[in-house]
Amino acid sequence: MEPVTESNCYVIREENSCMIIDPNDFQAIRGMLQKCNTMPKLVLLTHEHCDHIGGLNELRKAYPAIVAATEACSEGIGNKTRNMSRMMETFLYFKSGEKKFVHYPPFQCEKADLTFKECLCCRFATKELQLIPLPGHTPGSMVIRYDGCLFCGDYLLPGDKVVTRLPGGDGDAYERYAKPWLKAIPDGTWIFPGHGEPFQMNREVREFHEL
Amino acid sequence: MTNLEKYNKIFIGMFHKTEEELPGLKYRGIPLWDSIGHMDLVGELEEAFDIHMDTPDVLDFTSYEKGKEVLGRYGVTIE
Repeated sequence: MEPVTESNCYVIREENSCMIIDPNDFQAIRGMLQKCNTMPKLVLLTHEHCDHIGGLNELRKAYPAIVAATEACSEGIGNKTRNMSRMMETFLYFKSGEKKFVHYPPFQCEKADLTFKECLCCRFATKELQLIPLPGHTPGSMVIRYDGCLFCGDYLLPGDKVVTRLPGGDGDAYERYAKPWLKAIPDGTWIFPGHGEPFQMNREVREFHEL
Repeated sequence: MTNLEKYNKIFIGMFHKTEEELPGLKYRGIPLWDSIGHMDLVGELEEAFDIHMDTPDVLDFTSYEKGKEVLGRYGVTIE
């Protein structure tokens, strides 16, 4: 977890392969990779917000991994307004209850190496990997399914309802595309969110998120 | 369109108010002008007037009236 924005990054090692989901903190990621004596082959971005891509630029300089994201996400990471870094200082100040000011320089990233508009199915190491675009929170949001688990970015956050009012957010798109898909997640599925602890889908989660 | 008309149009669109309801509008004074609404408002104004506000000014932008003063710091006269 990145301490300033409290976003989650997931480093998944599978046999001799390693992928990273939402590279938020390069130093922490590098430490983990060195500890595991592995190098990333694939980097996936659940969406374009800066708190989920904060370590991407440095990661790309350090490792020759392929970065994959939806087309809209790839466009968004290159724009300081769409990736929210332009407003992050303000956002963090509000989030602290207007008590704490944290310096957060705006930044942008180069486009992803691999982009897509529709669901993308492939294999990573020995297991199936599904990348499912679900616009709503942002135009470029996607959910990642791997090894029976879901990495859902800023959807289904524990204790926080989905936000569709940030720049690029679209409540109608959420209702039309994302919500039906999230509703269909079977109970018992492990969810690894963009913030907060992992959990299993259950009735309480559905009720809270109005699914 | 004058700067005032541009300014008002953004407020009206953002907060679903009429022009007559704009004077006296304050951050947190209405449900839509919460922290997210505020960031959205600032983003729209920056784009409309081609300016980039520093964070202290973003935070100082606490009302419809104050906003005019803040934009003035960036050479934008709202009238």
